[in-house]
Amino acid sequence: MKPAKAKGKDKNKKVDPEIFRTVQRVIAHQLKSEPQRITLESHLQNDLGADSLDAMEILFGLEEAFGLKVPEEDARRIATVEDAVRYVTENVKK
Amino acid sequence: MNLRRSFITGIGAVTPAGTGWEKTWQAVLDGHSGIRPISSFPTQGYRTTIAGEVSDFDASQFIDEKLRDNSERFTQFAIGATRLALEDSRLTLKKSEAGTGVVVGCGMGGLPFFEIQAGAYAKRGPGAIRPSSVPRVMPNVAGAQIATLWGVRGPNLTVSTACSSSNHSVGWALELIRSGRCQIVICGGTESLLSPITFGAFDSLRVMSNRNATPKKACRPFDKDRDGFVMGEGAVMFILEELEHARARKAPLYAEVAGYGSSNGRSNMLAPESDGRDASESMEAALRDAGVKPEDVDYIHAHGTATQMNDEAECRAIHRTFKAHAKKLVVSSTKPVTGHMLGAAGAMGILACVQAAQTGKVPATLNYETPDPACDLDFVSGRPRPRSVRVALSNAFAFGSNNATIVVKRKEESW
Repeated sequence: MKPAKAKGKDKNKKVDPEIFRTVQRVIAHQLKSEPQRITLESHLQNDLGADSLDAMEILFGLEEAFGLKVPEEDARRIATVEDAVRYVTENVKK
Repeated sequence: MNLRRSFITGIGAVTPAGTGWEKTWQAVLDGHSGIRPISSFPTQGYRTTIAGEVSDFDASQFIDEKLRDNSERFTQFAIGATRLALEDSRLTLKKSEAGTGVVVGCGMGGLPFFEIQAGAYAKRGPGAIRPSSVPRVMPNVAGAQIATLWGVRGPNLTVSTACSSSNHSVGWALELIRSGRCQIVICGGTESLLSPITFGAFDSLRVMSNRNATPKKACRPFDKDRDGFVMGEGAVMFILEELEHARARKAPLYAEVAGYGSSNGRSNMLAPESDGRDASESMEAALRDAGVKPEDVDYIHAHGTATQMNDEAECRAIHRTFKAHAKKLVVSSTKPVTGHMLGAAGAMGILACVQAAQTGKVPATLNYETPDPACDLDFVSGRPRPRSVRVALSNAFAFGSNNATIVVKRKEESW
């Protein structure tokens, strides 16, 4: 499987397809949307229509899926799918 | 008296006797009980293993997938019943319509979801508690979702007084219309507590029937052999509407909600005053509010839970209020058919009063077979009784000695 590539500022950075797929699944489950609709560029609120509670549940879902504990200051910085994928990538193995 | 008058112009019901008020009412008339062995959770070790479970409600017909996955049964029942009531009333709410309110009765909200969180916490600690817990569990989420779905911007109240919640809800809806604050109020009650710990809490109180082997015969209001209530679940919602507003849009007029009364007993948290004084004060306050004399009342939908104490105290209360007329009016309880729907119980009683007034058929008290000398009224045994019902009362009494009564007047009596 070809790894998904981030666009924009991180276009040269490779994205772990496993992590992306899991993030996609967590978001799709909460928002009941098609996983294909959820791209790296998607903004949780503006593009995908997540409300404040959805955002909390998505965060909770990511913590459960990756065994993470996301501190408040980091949680506030996760606005797009890419933010979430990057955060998980950087923290999942620590 | 220069009161703005309020009519029920739409009814929606989701009960163990069927989804849709017509199905529920037919089951009540036919004596088809919705009480059966509990399937919601394993019942080994419980004293009581039967309940009135809603079995034919397909949430997907009323609620989108996302909300279904993020809401509790009591909220889903309330939304379903509201949608049915709006359709029944042929009412399309314009977005942001001023003068529309919501008042929902609900005793304990989403405790079943809280139980799941408690289980997760016990296994994995505080990190396992879902963020959606608060807005799923709070009793006012049913009303909040109704307002959100239909764009209601008016007052939005939730009344939580256990088993009398939905009589208070309709009573306060009446006040909102009388005072001119609202033209339309979506009101009624909802409850769903069939989960291991919440049901277990009632089980440990020893207030429920132990006739597990004969579920349909278990709830026996006013019968000498009664041994407690049977829990039900569900929602009954009404469109309550100011008369001129309803006439202007040619809405169906079912019956008038003519009065509301309430009272508090001083006895204790679980038992009514044994002389029936507190319940009698509730009925008298409602009659005064409606401007109706006791001898005008033809039918009482009793709280009639089938606990020893409630039924006896309620009979004393009826004697206190109605004196000689107590033996002339008829009294029945539909709880053997639906189970005790707790926060929706009063609204179920109002449904029975409205239909009795409309159709001239008073529902029987299913399973009333052996008279109890302590309960000496006409409880309509066997078949429904043909009777002209001009004025009916719905009683709902609650733990905490909290009583509420609603007066329903037949449409023709109101002209």
